[in-house]
Amino acid sequence: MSDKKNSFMSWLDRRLPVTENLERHLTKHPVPKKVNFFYIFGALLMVVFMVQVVTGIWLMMFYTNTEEGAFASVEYIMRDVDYGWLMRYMHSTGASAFFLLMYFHMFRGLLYGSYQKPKELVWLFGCFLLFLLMAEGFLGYVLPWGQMSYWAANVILSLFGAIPFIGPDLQVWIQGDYVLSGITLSRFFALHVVVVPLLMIALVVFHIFALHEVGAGNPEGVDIEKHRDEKGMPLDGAPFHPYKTFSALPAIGIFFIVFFAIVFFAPTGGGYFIEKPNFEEADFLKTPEHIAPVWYYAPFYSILRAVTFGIPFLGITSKFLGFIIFAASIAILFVVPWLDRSNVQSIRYKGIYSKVAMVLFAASFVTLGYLGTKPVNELRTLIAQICTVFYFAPFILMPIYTKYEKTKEVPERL
Amino acid sequence: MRFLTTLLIFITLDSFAAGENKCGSLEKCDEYSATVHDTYSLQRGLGIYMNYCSSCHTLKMQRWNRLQRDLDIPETILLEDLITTPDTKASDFMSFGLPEVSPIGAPDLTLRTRVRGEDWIYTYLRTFYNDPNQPSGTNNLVYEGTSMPNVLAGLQGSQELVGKGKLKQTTQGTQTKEEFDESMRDLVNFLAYVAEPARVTREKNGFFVILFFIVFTAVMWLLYREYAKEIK
Amino acid sequence: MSEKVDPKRRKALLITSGVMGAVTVAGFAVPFLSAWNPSEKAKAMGASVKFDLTKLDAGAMAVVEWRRTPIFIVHQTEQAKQNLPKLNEKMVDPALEEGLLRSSNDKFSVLKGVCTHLSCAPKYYPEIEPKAWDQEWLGGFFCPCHGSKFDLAGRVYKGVPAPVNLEVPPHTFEGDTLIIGDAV
Repeated sequence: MSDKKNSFMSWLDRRLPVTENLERHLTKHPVPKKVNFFYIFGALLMVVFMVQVVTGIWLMMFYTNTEEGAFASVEYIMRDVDYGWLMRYMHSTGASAFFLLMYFHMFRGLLYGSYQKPKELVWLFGCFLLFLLMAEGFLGYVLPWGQMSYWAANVILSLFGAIPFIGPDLQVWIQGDYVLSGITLSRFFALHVVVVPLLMIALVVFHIFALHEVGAGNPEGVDIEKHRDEKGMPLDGAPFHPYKTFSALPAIGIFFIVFFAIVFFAPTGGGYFIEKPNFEEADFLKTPEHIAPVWYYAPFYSILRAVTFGIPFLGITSKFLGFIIFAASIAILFVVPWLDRSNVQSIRYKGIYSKVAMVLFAASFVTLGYLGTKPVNELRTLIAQICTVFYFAPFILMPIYTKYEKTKEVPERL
Repeated sequence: MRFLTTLLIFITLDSFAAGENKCGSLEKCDEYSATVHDTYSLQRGLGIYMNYCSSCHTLKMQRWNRLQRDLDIPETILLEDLITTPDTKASDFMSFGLPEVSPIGAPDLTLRTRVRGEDWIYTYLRTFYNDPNQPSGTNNLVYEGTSMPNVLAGLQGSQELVGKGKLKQTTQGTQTKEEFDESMRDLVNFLAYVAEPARVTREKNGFFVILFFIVFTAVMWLLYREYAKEIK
Repeated sequence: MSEKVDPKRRKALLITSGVMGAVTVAGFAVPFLSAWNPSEKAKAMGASVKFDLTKLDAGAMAVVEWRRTPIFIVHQTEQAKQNLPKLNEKMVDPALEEGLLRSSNDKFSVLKGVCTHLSCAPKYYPEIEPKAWDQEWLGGFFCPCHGSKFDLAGRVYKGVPAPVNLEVPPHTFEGDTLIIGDAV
């Protein structure tokens, strides 16, 4: 039996390097023995991605991508299709979960220097994935064609209109119409279900290939490749399977407990995951009283709103400056590998300035997120402006403080 | 550190900020969260709906036969007492023969509890008061200037506005205050059911799914521990 | 830290977790496969159809749409009822167990108007007169596509392309009302 299997595998391996790649990427790939809970989010992101793809395909079977049919088809899914409500809630909750896990995953990267040489590309692909995820979430939120879908999309699309010279034409081109309409909906549908997911899959593959080339990090920032046993296995490493795979399983279990608790008992997340106005069909004559983005865009939306001034002598309006700073808040993540001049990777061995910077950044991000879901008033705008400064400062000042601050010595072994 | 403390204090204070939980002219709505698991309550709610709402409002996403199934309504009652418009099949939507777009502007109520919130609807239905300045003769604390007349006055009696946000009952209805509140809870329960018929199964079965994943996690944790021994 | 690996325990755990995994996958499969069942909308569109039989005179045929299929309802004449047994010999399957009119009623036949050959719609020729396709025609259905012949009860003649009798859809009679499709 085992002989037969081996001869089949060797037949296959001669033609397609299955075993070699399985060993390289799954069974024998060495991962650090000791990591903390921050290192589980990558695996959970894969799980959520799969949930989104599968539920998305099923929703697509029943959804209608026309102005007249979209809203009704979502209610058709909720009411008439067997378990349609489950597909829809899993997909909407999955979107929130995707962002939450992504934010933790990236914060892990910032804390433990998962972007440092030679991991720059891993980080870059990850940043692109964040960007694509934001686009995907935005496009997807338009599809139910509820009031919030329509008006939130209007707000974001009008940002493109703020770009000097080409803005208004660009906005019309993106919409395919002079207003946001069913034409826009149809193209957003195509982008949401085909283009962006395909790009995301490609980038996930690159992200993982690049990671497996440079090796996974650990909270100590120790290079496990330095010390190997006689077989070439790093002394502080263990094969991906079974150690990493089996450590992911209970985490997946816990994730599903929380995930399904929301899906079954609080699918609208108190109005944060599916907003109340979105249960009303889009009406281009009636703006909802308070347009708030879904929680996962709130920090960036806050930054956008915090910019209440322009640069008049350059002809830059406050709206356009807001757009630039909003774009910069994501773009700055891309260059982090080149901003960090520290000789250590992990926050554990970095100096006090790095630690303070990370805390400020995290606190600002959370506060901005909170503010983004609330209507504006003077005090809130002021706080948002201060938090915007503290959002950018840790990155802008990074080349200085990481270079001069005193770091601790990193141990040889984990 | 001081910055963080300030932020924390700000968020804590800010989340209680006045004005944002406002419910029309009230500081906040009366709290009520609907339950869809009491079939009798849903049936009573349906009764109130049929008697007081259905002549103006549609439920154009709710099918009669789904209602029959979920609310345990005998077929004879459905066909003889509830479906009053001729040519309506059991699988048709509950539009009560009303036109697609209401000529008097009465909104479709299928998803109303999800748009407004259960609290809002529950408070709205109970806070009508006499106001001769309104075309309908009544006004509402939650939704000022509402064009809906107080169709429930027969049950509740009529109310007068005495001071800001305060109402006083002036005439008796057929129900006491407690009975009327109970009726409105039935009606909100019914509307919450109509807004999401799947909620009944969702809330009933969710418990088992979560229980399953608790067991799943426990087994996987033991498995992980068994393998983690080796690499420590 | 220096606990020993217990192979028995390990095997038991591997099997248990394997079973858990399989149950999880099966559990996920249920809603996704169920979603492909006919939805409430499809069920509503495929629901039974009522027909008032008093509108139909003897010898006439009505066509009713049910699940996007034409349903022929034939009010048989006394003459037709006398003629039907004479045709038994000429039929591929006389279907005597289904009754004279192949329905639970002694006046009406209910048939799916879809030729059992290649799904054309057969035409109704109730006249008793020589036809181009049959000199001894006693009334029935003739399919213009490939020349299949059926009698008034939808039974197929021998020697034509169609292999079996016209299908009888599920139906019930309630007084003067015919219900096509499963009972409500």
